[in-house]
Amino acid sequence: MPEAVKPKKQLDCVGLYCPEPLFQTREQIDSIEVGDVLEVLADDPAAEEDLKRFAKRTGNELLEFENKDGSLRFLIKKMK
Amino acid sequence: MAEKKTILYVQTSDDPERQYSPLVLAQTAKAMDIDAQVYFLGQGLRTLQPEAAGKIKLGAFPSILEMINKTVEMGIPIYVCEASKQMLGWEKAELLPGLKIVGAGTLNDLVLEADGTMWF
Repeated sequence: MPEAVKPKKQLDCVGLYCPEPLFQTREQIDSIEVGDVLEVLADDPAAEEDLKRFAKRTGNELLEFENKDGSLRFLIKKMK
Repeated sequence: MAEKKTILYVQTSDDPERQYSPLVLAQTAKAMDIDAQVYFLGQGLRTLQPEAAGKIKLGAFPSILEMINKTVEMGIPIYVCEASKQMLGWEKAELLPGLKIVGAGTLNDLVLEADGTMWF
């Protein structure tokens, strides 16, 4: 069984609406090292598409995404 | 066969006479094997409330409600700007079914991905 990914930082965007989750994710990605993983929690439905696209567009890797009854969780690995 | 292309139509207005063009064009694009996407932004969102959409009916066209339902049925994604919902103070507004709420980052990305965009 693969080892669970350990995030370097957690960002809580619950209660925040677009564009805040994107802005704050960018800020936190900039603050960690290449290879580190950022965990983002959000409940803005717009964050799903936005953060998936953010990861792809900025060349970072979305390791995991889950949506549990509207509670969103992303694991984004900084790649560059 | 030609490479498949994508057109993104962006609706920014709630003017009834501006509502038909992007939906007609998107449906036409789909019929021509062109991928179509529609994005509602700013005041354009006012049209997406069921009552408002049902009231707009011009000329020989069906109502905007019927046009939007048909667009969704055809598999054309209709995106709705979350920040515009906030701007209009619509935390819990009822919007038509089948629409996808997305954010500002998504619109930027869709524009870059599309082969062409049209703004209304």
